[in-house]
Amino acid sequence: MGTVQAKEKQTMVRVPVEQAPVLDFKKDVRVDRVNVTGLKRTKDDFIKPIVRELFHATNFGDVLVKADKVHRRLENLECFKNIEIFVDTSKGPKASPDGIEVTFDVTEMNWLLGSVNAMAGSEEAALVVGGRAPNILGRGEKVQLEYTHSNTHNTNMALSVSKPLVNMKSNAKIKSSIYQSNASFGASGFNEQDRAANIAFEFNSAPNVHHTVLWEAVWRYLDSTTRTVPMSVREQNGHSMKSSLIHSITMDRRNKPVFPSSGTLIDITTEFAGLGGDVGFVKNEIKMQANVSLFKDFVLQGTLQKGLLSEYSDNKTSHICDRFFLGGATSVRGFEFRGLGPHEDNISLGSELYWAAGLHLYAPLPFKVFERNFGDFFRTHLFVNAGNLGKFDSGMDYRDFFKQMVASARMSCGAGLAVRIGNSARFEINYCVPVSVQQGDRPIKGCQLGVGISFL
Amino acid sequence: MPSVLLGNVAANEMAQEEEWANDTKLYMPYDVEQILLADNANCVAVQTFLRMCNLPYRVEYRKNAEFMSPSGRVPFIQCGKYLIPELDHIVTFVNNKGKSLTGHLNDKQKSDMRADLSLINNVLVNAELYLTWVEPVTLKEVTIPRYSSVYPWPLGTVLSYSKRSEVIARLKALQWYDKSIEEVYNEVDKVCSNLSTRLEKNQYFFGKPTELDALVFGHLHTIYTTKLPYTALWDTVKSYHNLIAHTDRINSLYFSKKG
Repeated sequence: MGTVQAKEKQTMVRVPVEQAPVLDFKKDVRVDRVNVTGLKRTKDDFIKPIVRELFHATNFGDVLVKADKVHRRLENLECFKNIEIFVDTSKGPKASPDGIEVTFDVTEMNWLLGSVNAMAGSEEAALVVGGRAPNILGRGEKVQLEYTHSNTHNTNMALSVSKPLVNMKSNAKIKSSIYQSNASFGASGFNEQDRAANIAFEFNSAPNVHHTVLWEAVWRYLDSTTRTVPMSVREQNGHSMKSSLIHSITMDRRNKPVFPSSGTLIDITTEFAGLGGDVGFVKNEIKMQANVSLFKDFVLQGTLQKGLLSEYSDNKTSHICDRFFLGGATSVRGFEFRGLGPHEDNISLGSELYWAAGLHLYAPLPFKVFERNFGDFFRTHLFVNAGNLGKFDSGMDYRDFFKQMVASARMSCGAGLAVRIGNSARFEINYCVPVSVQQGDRPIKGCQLGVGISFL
Repeated sequence: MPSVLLGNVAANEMAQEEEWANDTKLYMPYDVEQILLADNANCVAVQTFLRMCNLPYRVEYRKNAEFMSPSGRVPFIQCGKYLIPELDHIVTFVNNKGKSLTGHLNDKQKSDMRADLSLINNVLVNAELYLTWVEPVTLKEVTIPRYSSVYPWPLGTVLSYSKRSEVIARLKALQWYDKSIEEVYNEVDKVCSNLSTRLEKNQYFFGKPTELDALVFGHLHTIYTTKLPYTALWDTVKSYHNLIAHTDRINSLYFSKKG
């Protein structure tokens, strides 16, 4: 597992040299003491529940495994910029015969941190300016303020407060934020302004299984981008209030987030809107990805996504900003952004049901012209993408319903180059050939560029 | 908003040759539970104008009509693919279709009519806005309950107050905000007296029905039919008997028989 390996490299376990020859991982030991040095404003009672786990270690190998686990938990608190571990035999009058002493030497983050980042999405580039105060009261409380401005004049301002709950072993965290965002969706003919407040509880139910339970209230304002926007979009203008409960599970068992060579990712989100407010719907979405390593460095990747939005009441409805959209460099390639599915006057209306699938064959750059490290940033890929978006009559026979969803499906294929940016994002340049297109779609035949974190 | 007006000019030029669409729709807020004095007056005026021109239309009630309108004001009509907000733009649009209620007027009468139209739009509308959004009892008992009726808590209250500050900014800029309620009624009285003098004993202001008749009817009929905590506004208006007779005449001619 790549992520773990990466962290183990950082975990510097320094065993005194004279001890080295007798290193025996099965050797029974007793952890006499755990020291945490370098704590200044961090409170002891905040750290104690985390390091306590080490006292349960019974042999030397166990100590190392647990020390690594504690290291990761300390790191997750986002209070320390550096953590080092020292393991030594315990000395002094109270030392037991097999006694061991573990020391974590931490460096706290500054009171106040500022950052300026560039960010790129599928349709825009943005500048993020932010400030945060980690560990403000000494128990991991973090206050963060962020302002994002993009080249398309979309803005987002967010203030968030979070606190890790160290007494729960599952990396639990409570987080609350308020934000205001302005975004323009020219392809769909509307501008959206959101003002929202939310509170979230995050935890892991198993390693790599992350849950978020979120309640959010959003005051939305929609506005038409031009005078010629069709009435079906224009009639949704104005103010609405959505209050919803969202649960999402992410099971990430891939070996790395960008260009994985093995493992699966499953992401399930359920949203129930209508606890107060005038917007009501149930929205389910699932995204799956599987990676299989073929010969040499060739990797076959399959992805499948599906979403369904249903209304349950006549009084509370959904709006265009709640619907699903397909198409674009990070979605079904070979179509413009939101360029697949129902359109009116060239304005993408989105819909309530979609599926999308992709099959990719990734290969390293040919001829091994670049050194291994540099080449790691690049992959070539061949792909086939398919998907469908619409309102399908689900009242009929299950097989008929399935036939409808497949019959009008869109498909594209192509080849291109993907570049890794940092540890989570990637850039793609593809030559796309739309194979199956329906009336109203806006396909792209030729080059398509895309930057993003989550790709189909 | 200059862009909107410019858009209108372009739309009007293009629309010249096309016929009036039979499925023309007029969008307005719910008149029973939501609409407020000034908006209602404009909606009635536009409907009256269209009926005077004998142009077919269908009313579409939408709680967000204000935000659907290209100018942010109600009512607006959708004729074919064109959206036209407010009475003066609609009059221009209809004129471009070759229909006009002012063909029989000479230049002086036309400029008199324009002066009266702007008098109503400047004085009567501001007086109505003042009464709706500034006068505290009306604000609390009528305006806020009606304006927020179509929104869930707490959005209704928030939007009511943001709308109020928007209107107050307008009234401040036009130096209406600092007036006392008596001064406001006096202004209304002056307008009514002007109109009453212009109407004299005639059936209509300029012989035949024009948009001025539609606008005067829109306001007076609305003032008459709207229930407010105070009747002072209606009391001011009703002393002008020829205006009241004019209102009754248009009401029975254009609204009673069709229902």
